[in-house]
Amino acid sequence: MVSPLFIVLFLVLMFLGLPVLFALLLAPGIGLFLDGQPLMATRLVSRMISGIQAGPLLAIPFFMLAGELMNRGGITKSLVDFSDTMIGHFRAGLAQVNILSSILFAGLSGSAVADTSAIGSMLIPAMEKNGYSTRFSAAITAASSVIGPIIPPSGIMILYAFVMNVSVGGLFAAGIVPGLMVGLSLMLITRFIAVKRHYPQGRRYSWGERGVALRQAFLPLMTPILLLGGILSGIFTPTEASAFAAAYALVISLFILRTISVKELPDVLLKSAMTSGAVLLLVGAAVAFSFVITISGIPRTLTEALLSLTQNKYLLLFLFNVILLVTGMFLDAGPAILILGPILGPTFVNLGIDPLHFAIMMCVNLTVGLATPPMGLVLFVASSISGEKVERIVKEMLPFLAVEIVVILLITYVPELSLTLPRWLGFMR
Amino acid sequence: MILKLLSPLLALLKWSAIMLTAVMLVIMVVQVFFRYVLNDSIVWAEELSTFMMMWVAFLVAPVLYRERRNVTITLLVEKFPPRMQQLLAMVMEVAILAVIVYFFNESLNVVQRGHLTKVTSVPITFFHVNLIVPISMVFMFWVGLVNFWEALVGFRENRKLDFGTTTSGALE
Repeated sequence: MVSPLFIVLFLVLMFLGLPVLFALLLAPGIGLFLDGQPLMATRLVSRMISGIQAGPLLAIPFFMLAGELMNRGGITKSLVDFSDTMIGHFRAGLAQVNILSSILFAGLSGSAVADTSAIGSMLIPAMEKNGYSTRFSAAITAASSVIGPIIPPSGIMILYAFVMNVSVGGLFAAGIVPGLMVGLSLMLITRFIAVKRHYPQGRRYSWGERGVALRQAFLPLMTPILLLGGILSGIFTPTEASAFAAAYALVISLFILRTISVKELPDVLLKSAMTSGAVLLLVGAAVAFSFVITISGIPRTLTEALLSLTQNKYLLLFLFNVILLVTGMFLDAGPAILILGPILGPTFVNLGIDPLHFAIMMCVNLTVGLATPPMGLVLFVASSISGEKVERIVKEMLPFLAVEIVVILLITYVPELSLTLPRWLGFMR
Repeated sequence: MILKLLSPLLALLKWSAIMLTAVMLVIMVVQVFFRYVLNDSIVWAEELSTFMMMWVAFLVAPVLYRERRNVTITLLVEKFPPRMQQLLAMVMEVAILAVIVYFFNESLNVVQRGHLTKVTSVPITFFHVNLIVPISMVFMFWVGLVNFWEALVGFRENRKLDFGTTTSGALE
């Protein structure tokens, strides 16, 4: 058995600026050598290689490619225009449009960062022109973008499903209600803020104009329907669905909507190869890392330690959420899942938590972490688009973050909210 | 010379990754078409694509390393004075080089053992599949040397460390 001290070494190396990929390999390697098990260290290499040779991971490059194609050019505009015709006349119309666009965008790309950058660069300037403060516009963009990875398809869910061996389809189904809950709660709190600050309403569109906007947005809007319909009904495997999504996105953006040209394709393919390569290498390293975690007996020790603190399940879940929120302040969702999943997953499943319920809590919590300081990815993107300082955006985001934390607690303590849909669809008993 | 040759080499790796990604997509789309339209599965499609995906990951690994795109927590290091940042970068590069050398060495064994295992759906062995790992490690070592050299020059010139653009957020 290897000493759990390698976790401390891992944290030290990571915070001293060693890329997470190398820290995931070096720390357990040193740990095994120091414990006099150099032969076991050789398994890190074979585990990493076999970790990347996994069919279910194929969905990652294809979803990345589909997202990359969808993010370019007119597809975002058609979604925003459609949202505007539908709810632009509400109080704080453009802020509500921002949230609805994020919900629709979530069904296409599943990336909060892409959402902030695509929707933010369109709506933040428009909101400013209509009398909204820059910080509010940036804050609502960042806050609503976290819906991206919660509503399927979702890169982090595919990652979680692979690392923790739960059903991708089940996890996708479990994300739909929490994603909509985050969106609707943000709309509600925005309405309260809008009334207090007298934010403007947009004009009401005729049904004819709505029809025109729907026609423009129809093909992109069909993506989540085809994709999720295929996966959730069991027709497509997630890998086939991802390849289909990439091909569909390619056809509509290249030939129908003409939002990209053939010349741009190598760049799109490279971007998808680079981002998925980075993720896949991390996954391989995390598989090697979790192998050492398993033989170190950390999950069992942690379970005992947690149970010695309290036997109360609700308190333990609260503690779990606090750990994840703090982690999300410093680490992106993907690496956090790869590192903490193998440690916390078995611990909480041992305590009687359903693996799918645990998975959705972890995914939603860490996704909200993308919008929390000091290391909130979407905050940085919103700041660079709007030109507003991160700290000012954060101040404006507090009510939105509070609402998102309430949703996390609801998902935690009312498992039916997330588990009913996967149960109906036969992903769990 | 080591520095001069690196750029064209990384460009070659990028183009290889682009081609493989495109081929992967074509194979999988054809597979979906065969399975759902012609009712006849292509048995090798998913397995071959999986291996191609692994090749893409290891082909872009040196590029990611060179362009400092691997997820890194720079929160603390950014606050250090420039010379301290470069010194720490040198230590980290040595640590990374050690990982690369160990990986290269051990991956050779994995590649050798691969001769014994045939891939089920295509007439190749795991020797061919895993060959990309030591190849990638050689290029990574090359990048590591260049990165170390730049940190050394940066240390001498008291220059701030370039933290690059991480692909952090790739999935998120």
